[in-house]
Amino acid sequence: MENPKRYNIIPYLFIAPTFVLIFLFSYYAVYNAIELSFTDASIGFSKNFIGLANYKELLNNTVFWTSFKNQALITVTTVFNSIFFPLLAAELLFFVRRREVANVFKTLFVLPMLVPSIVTILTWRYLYNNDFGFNTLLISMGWGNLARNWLNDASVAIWAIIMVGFPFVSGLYFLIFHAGINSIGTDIFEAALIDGVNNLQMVTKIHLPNVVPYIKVVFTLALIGSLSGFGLVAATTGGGPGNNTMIPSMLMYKVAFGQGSFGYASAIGVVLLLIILTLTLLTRSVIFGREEAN
Amino acid sequence: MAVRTGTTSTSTLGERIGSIFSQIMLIILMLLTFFPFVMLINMSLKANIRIKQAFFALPNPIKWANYTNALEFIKQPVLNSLFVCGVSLVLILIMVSMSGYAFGRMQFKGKEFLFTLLLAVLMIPYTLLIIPNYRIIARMGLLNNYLALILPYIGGQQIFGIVLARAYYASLPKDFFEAAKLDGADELQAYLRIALPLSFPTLITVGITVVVAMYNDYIWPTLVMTTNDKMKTFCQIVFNNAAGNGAPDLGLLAASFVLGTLPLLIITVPLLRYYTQGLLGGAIKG
Repeated sequence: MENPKRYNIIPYLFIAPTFVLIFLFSYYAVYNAIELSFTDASIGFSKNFIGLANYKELLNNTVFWTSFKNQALITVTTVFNSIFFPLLAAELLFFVRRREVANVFKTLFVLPMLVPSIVTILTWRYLYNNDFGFNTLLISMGWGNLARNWLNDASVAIWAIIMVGFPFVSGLYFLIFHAGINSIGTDIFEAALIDGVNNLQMVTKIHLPNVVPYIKVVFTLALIGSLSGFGLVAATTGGGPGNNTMIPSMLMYKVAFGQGSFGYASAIGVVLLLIILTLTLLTRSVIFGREEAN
Repeated sequence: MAVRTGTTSTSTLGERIGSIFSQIMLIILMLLTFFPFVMLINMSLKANIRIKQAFFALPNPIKWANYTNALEFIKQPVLNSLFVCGVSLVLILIMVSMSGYAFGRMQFKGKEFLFTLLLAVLMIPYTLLIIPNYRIIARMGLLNNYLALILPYIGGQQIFGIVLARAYYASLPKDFFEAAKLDGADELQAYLRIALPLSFPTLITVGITVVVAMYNDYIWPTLVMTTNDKMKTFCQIVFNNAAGNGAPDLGLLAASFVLGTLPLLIITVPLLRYYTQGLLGGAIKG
């Protein structure tokens, strides 16, 4: 409401660099990907329009369907883990009475966030190794028959991927929940204590209802995060053994830069985009509904 | 920040039990969280053969040579990463603060629409952009040029920061700016002299978030920095070397992981307090 009468070019100059890059690397890129998905483009620049052929081929590709089943499993478990464990830790932290102790815990939980994810992932890869790591532990406990090549065993590989990063506490989501619980206001806690609520009631009756907006945020972030990246799969199994841990984005990457089929790969990307848009909008309107103002 | 302060005088038995129980549970979670990293450090101090034969045993003798060799191995990649992150960071912060200020404090036509356009970018899966961005970069003739990393990083990483900065600038009291205007400051001066300095903590939060994300990236560099090994980034090198099976020297690799992690820790840990505050302050509700 500053001074609406005067036409002013300054705001546009302020946002111009941002939008130049967004238009090039996001909007033009999306347009380009959609366009490519209807062509037979390969790693060079020539391309021919081939209509829906890529999409038809995709629907007949069994690996594509497997990859979606895997993605569904990974996404559901990831979203659950991203909410449950960080929220659990934030709740536990709330009940730590000495503030200095609580702060030490908080800092320690933030630290692993600063370790490059590839380092964390590859460390887990070592632990999953056939010759040492978890297997050493199992053998020393007399459960050697459970030892296996975790990331190379079709029956467990996808679960091994899902478990990377256990107990999933560290980082941004934890901080978000921590903020959520502490934003409730001490007067409400004090009133509750005077009313004689116990710890469990404090969590279920007072915290959880107030933390719902933060759960929404984490839900959305974890959902999009899980659907849009493939760094974890690329650095653990690459989709293998066979195609047992393949996910659509990994498949896309392999089709694009392994086989050089940019057009076909783009079709996978477009399907992925549609799924993310649908899921994001669905969760906003259906699951969380109503009070979402912005 | 309203952190609960349980005064000892009013605490009940239930509270005390809750506190002890929570601490035990948190310690267990902490041990599980740090277990892989402890193992990594343990590995980094052992000879290859000892890692395979006695994985959990403490390093004895300690093989410091892993670290001297690792330093040689990753010095250049880490410097490359820091260079790319540094240049991108400065440009991102400039753009974040300008766009954040425009959206948070200025009035202009199409503001809501443009902001929605900005937010929509967050819904585009990273994967979808890989192919077109690769083609764009190739067309611009920027393959194997650091701009191939820097330009897309700025494009993608600025969004979250703008959302954060906008919320912060919008929250500043109007009086600050009206007083400045009375003193004859124009819009540009109001931004430079008042808003920008005040927003440093927010910009630190943004800075840490984007630096961690950029330093972490290994997929994109693997695609666009292919020819010259001397130009590759740390995470790219780690990914390329260890993604293939039969890694040559595990102790050396583990030591490289540890060393490559240190720059990020050294830069960010002193700023962590601002980071949590900035994040907890404006980010979530905005």
